[in-house]
Amino acid sequence: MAERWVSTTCDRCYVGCGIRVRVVDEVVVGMEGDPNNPLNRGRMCAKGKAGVMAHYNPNRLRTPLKRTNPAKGIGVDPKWQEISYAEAISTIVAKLSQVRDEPRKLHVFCWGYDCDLQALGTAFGTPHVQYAGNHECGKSIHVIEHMAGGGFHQQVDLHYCNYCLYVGTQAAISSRAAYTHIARDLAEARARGMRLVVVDPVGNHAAAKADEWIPIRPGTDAALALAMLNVLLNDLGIYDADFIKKGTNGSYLVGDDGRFVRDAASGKPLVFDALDGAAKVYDDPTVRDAALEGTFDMRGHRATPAFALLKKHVATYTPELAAEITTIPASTIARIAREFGAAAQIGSTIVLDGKQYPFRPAALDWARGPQGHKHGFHHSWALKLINILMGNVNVPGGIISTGTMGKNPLPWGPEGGVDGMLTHAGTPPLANVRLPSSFPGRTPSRPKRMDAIELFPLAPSATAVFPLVGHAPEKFGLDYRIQVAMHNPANLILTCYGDVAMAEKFYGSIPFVFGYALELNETNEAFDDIVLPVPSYLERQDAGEGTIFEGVYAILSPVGQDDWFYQLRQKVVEPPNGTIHPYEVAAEIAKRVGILAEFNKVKNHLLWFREPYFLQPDRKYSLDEVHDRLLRSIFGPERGLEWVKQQGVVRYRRDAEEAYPGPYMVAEGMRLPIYLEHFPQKAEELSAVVQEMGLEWDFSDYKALPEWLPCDAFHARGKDGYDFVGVHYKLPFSYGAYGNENPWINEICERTPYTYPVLVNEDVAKRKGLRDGDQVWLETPVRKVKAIAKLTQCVHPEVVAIAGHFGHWAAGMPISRGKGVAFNPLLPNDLENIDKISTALDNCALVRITKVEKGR
Amino acid sequence: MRRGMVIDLKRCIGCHACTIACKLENATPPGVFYARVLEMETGKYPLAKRVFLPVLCNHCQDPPCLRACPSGATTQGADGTVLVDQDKCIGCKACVEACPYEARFFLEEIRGYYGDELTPFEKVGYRKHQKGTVAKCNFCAERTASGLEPACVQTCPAVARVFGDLEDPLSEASRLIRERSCIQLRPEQGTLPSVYYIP
Repeated sequence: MAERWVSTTCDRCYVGCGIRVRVVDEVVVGMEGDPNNPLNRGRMCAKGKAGVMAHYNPNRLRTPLKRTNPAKGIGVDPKWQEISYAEAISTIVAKLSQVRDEPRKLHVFCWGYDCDLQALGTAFGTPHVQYAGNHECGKSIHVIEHMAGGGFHQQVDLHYCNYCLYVGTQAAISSRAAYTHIARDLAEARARGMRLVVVDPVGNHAAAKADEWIPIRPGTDAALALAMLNVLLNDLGIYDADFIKKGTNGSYLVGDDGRFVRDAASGKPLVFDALDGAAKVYDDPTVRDAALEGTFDMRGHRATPAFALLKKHVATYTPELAAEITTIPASTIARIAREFGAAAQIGSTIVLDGKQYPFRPAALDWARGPQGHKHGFHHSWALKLINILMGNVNVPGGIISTGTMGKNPLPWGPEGGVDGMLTHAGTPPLANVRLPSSFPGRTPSRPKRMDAIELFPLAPSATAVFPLVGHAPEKFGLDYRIQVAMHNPANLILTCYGDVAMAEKFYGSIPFVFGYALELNETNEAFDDIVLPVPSYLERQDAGEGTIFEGVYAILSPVGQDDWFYQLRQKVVEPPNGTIHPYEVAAEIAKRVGILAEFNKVKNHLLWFREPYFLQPDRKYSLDEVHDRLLRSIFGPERGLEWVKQQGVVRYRRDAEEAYPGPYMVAEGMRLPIYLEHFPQKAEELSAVVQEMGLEWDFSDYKALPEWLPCDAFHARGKDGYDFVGVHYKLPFSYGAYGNENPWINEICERTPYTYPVLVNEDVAKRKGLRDGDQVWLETPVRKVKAIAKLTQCVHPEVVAIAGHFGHWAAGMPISRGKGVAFNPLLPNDLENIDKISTALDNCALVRITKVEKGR
Repeated sequence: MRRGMVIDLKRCIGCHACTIACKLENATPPGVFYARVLEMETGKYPLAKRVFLPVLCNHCQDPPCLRACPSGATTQGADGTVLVDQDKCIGCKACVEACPYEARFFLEEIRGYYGDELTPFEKVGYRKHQKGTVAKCNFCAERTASGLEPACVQTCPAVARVFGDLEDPLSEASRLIRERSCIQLRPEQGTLPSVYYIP
């Protein structure tokens, strides 16, 4: 018996845990979490442990296929025919060559994250390289973190937090990056007495573990947040004045025109020094006490500190008003605001690594819930402001922006400049991409791109807009169409664009599509002309192409002082039939299309290659050579591929300054906004553009102060039989993964009562004559599907809750086919339902439920 | 020595990592779960919540399955674990009936998860199963023999499971049982489970 253990990286979701795989006689027989990996610390989740069944899935694609049926679309049999790699690649090269003169006609989808497909698309010259997962993926959070955090995403500092308020998230229980790490941190925080309060329409896994579950009407989070701010600022006077003065633009004076009052000579915003009784530029070293309140006369014009405007603004959001909007009792809103403010311990400090830090052990976290709405930015922003005003951003116990700064193996950090504000989030090594800026933002212009991102000058991506423009580009003044598309093994049609019919209009209109597949999913089946197999994660070596989010990549690593780390994905066993690594495919295509030099250049840029290890323009490297050069670039000349393999996990200590960059950012002049002065500015610029284009545009989101703005469903529910709002929620055994095509995962789904059925409030359901287990039609304005009703007390009465990520219909997915409901395809996708700041699609789907009559 | 387990229900997040870790360790066929997590709900809206209850063989001190077994297949080890010798099991299912915890599984058939053709993993893993016999959790005897924790304990992301010697007053498991008002399932059955729960 030949037994060996191989250290590698899991890929069953984007967390990327370190694992050790046991192989006996070349058969994978076991897997355990790697105890030396500081991310998962020896633990693995259900999805990871089930990975062996995905690896050995007999329905995995093993040979290249071509579509022989000229017809395309959902429900059309592609009539696959097996072909050779040679034929597949020749066809792809020929199709790409046809659009070589107009590279923008190529669309690339590479969420996952597939660096080689991204590099191929970028080298080709198209701007249409889509790496955001879906219509909601990170939409508001990145806008906000890039200007008001300093990193990529946010995480509660569970090491010190005493009061954790979740609004529309199940972080560390069902979801979120660094899951296996933070699940343990959260359990330990709760065990030591941290209070967990969960605000959510669904009594889900997170609500089950909360000290208090507070059901909320979907799409009303901003009303809750603004009423909490009102209680904190106006009733209780709880806010971190010191931080607001030094670490935000709260003291900047605002004129009656809504713009900052600026120094005539320098153009810098002014503050009013209360001790000297004089206006000064914000960074004048003589400022002793920048006023947060009062109104000042500036050469005959009235000027008010931004904080005072916010304080006055939120006064209109009484808990009573918010109660009507959210269905949360006013007394509860006031109480959680009070509890949160008290728990923040404003003024307290803690010493870490010999240095004093503000100590703010209360944090508010949110994710898809507030984010996925027509006015998702404002929901999210109002919630973020609670954190900012309590002074808890990037300090122990508070809310931490992930991957903001680090010192090893190469230093990185956020940048500031304009008006004393944070302008760019820090980008860790390997994820060597300058993150887009949401302050001061881009200048809008007429769209040239097929996602019309030019009309969303603050958004990092515009996923949902793609099919809207792509199926009718002339409406947006574009005179070309996408002719060739390529995608990684993700399932963009089911998950990415909302309304499937809309997605089909776009993706189905593309004459040639080439994709990868693990198993043939809905996207492959409906649209691909050529499909290539990929090696499973146990059959491939990746040095950064598939694990960008974790470790040294750090964009989404655990927060706090756990080590930074790097772990290679090693090949554990050989792939079947010589299945080729996507790098080799991409490099061969690049060479034959004549863009190998550009391809290598883009790879040099996308990953942290350095002299003398840059990929040279004219050479096609082997995968090992690429990885060896990359690793020597990062770790030094003696530390290449073989060294990393021997190390297993490479670790670097993270000091307190890296872990808690709040004070550093204050000292370095990277203030966080509480007043979004650039929003009205962007509205003015954009208004000129859309007027010229003859487009109607909603500018209600372009406000400097947070606002509660309703989704259409808020007023439309209850009409035309649409008695419910559909909401999505996540499950710990299917989130962020390849889903329920895995038979072990499917078996859990089938054996748990809440997974495949849709949840309807028991009392409401009974009034409608529904019984537990009834088959129902579930209908939104764009889609009608069959579902099983589960009657429960654990859901808001106005809601139908749909767990993810199910509802497959592809023939290549026999395990999961016909089980559960896919939520995203239920969502209308039109400009009316897209957040004009972040491009998030509205997740408040109007839902009509009717019983399926027997015999139909 | 008496091996036992303490499961902290406050820590458990219902993620089913234990369920699947057990599948991977023991290569159990469809429908067979040595470890699983029951989900139910309690209370009326809005004071309602879901409840997760991880269950496995309780390795009772007074196991009714042992008394029910006519063939001598079921035994209790020196460490208190309740074991089934599948070579001796005659498949009468008396133990399945006797177990108050539905922790025993009769292997009526041993199907593959993808149908008749077994995966390479199943071909290797299924060698430990015999059709027509009863199978159950053995506290991962192979692992514990080499000083490892059972797979469900080792993987639990929330660190909700503690495995140890209940006769050793210094073990973490003993300490939790003493200090945390632990409960056992169905105590009225008088089975004296070795699996305890922190409510």
